[in-house]
Amino acid sequence: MRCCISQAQIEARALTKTFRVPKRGSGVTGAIQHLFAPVYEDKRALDQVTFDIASGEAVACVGPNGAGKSTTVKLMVGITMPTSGSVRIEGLDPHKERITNSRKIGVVFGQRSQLWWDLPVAESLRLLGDIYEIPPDRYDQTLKTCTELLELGPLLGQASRSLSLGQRMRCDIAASLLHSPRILFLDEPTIGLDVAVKARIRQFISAMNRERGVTVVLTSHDLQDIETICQRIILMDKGAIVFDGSLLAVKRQFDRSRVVTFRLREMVPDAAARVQIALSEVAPPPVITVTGYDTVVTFDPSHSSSAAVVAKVMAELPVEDLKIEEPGIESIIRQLYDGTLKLGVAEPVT
Amino acid sequence: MTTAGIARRPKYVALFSMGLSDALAYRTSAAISWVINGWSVLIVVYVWYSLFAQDGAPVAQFDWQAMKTYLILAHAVNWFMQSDVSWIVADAVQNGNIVTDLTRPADYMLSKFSQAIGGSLVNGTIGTVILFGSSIIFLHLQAPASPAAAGLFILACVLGYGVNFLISYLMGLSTCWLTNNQGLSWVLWYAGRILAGTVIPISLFPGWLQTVAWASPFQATVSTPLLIYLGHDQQGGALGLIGVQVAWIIGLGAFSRWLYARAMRRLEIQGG
Ligand SMILES: Nc1ncnc2c1ncn2[C@@H]1O[C@H](COP(=O)(O)OP(=O)(O)OP(=O)(O)O)[C@@H](O)[C@H]1O
Ligand SMILES: [Mg+2]
Repeated sequence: MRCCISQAQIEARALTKTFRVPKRGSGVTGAIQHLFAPVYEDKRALDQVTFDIASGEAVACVGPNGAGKSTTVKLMVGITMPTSGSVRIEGLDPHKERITNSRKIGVVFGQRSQLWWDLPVAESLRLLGDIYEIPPDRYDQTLKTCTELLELGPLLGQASRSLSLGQRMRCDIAASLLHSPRILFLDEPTIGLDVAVKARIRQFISAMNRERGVTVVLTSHDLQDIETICQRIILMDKGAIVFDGSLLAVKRQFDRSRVVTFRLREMVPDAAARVQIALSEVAPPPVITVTGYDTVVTFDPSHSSSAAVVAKVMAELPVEDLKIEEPGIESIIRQLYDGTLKLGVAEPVT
Repeated sequence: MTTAGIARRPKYVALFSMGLSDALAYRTSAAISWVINGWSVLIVVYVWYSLFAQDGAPVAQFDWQAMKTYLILAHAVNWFMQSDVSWIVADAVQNGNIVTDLTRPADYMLSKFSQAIGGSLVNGTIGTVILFGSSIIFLHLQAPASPAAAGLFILACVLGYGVNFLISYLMGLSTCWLTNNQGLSWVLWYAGRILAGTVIPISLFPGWLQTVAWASPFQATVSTPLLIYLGHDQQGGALGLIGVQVAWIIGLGAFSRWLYARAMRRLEIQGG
């Protein structure tokens, strides 16, 4: 009997993590006082976090600094233990079954490297091949794919300490995938990288997810990462989940506007009035602003299609070019970070 | 660049050779430690030589020849065993880099052990063999008490290495409770060297300190192989002393497993 077919690949149930932090007065007196009568206070980093992740999903864990994203990843990877609640990876406790679990998962902590500092990258990778007992032909094949897609060729002979951040990160990502893990955890994999390297890494991770079916769990502050790689988003704030759903649903739920910018061939003095008349049947009434050659129309896409709006405006004005903007999750997440987004969820206890 | 044609190594063998090449990357510092160790042996031997020269009488069961042999060998054996595993584990716990070890399918203690042997081979063993070899030739060290003693001496050195590794590993793990164990490490290291009989033979200690030393695991590192070499193993014989070493390895090994499990439950990776 297979027990695990109906199960989610990753199950978190009421995950709670409390850190005991020393409460220390300042200066020498504080230090001495702490030595003899240490005072601790409990700091709740995660509070009753529950979610399921199915095999093959790509999930982004998003939230302001200190929201508990890294803590959640550490619990899923099994390197820390929850204070209460549980997490299961393919039915196993990742902390108790550390070694079994480590064969199923690949882990990248953007701030740390898993390569040996003084060894050439190729040596580090070979060593990982030995530790994971990867069959040589599969090892060669995976390394070849990674080398091509991440352009590792010139880096393999260099010692890890001599690599730039972006070069090191590409090698680190390859290192985490050598043993063909079924789940890939990435905690801020693009932090501090330039635009080109970010794009390459995103494409690569996305390809692993779509083509190989690798489950991806990613934390990032870069919304481009999230939009390129993930279909689902878990928004966290103060140790609790405030939203969990598809990226599309976030956009629909939180942002019901679409922005079309029309660039005109010539100045049309009464452009705003003419567009208003052309779109008089669109409800709710669109917002029209004109600046120079640009006429910007903001409307609700759930009531009128973009195609209809564009067709009507183009029939009215000499349009040379146009740009349709998707609702950005950026603005939504910024609202969340600022604390101005009200989601009707009880404030978590800190 | 491909690795085609390179065969898989067993993982702990791979980790051992990693420890080796890592240490080789710092061969200059290894060479410096050989020089420092070599000098410190000469100084200690010279100090004892002047003490003996004053009346020439043997101290306890040691005449000058035996004392000279003891001091040089004690240094050599101590050198052979030295490893930085305590520091490596403490550092990994403190800065959180232990996560990289813990996300791999390898036993943590065995990984550290394999790496430590690789490192010791560069830092300790080569120097030890040079020191030992040249001392036998140039300083006319006493030969082992018997051929059997020579064989058992080597066995005792290997077991002593294991005991010393376990002590260092446990010190490293203790960082999970004592966030800053630098001080403790140093105190233990010095106390350990003395209790191990590296500085002077344990039988020259005052009575109470002898009791402490015999009850501690440190004597199973340096003192035991030397007593066997010199044939000073009256109480219990060489095999008895080796039995004590084995007992320490089993005891400390079991304690390490237990402490490791507790440490992992406490582990709070900082940063990220
Ligand atoms: N080892 C620790 N000891 C004490 N408190 C901790 C520890 N690790 C995390 N915390 C606290 O737990 C909370 C969540 O931290 P976490 O690292 O999970 O945040 P995050 O969402 O990853 O933030 P960031 O976006 O800044 O990486 C923070 O308030 C942090 O101070
Ligand atoms: Mg984080």
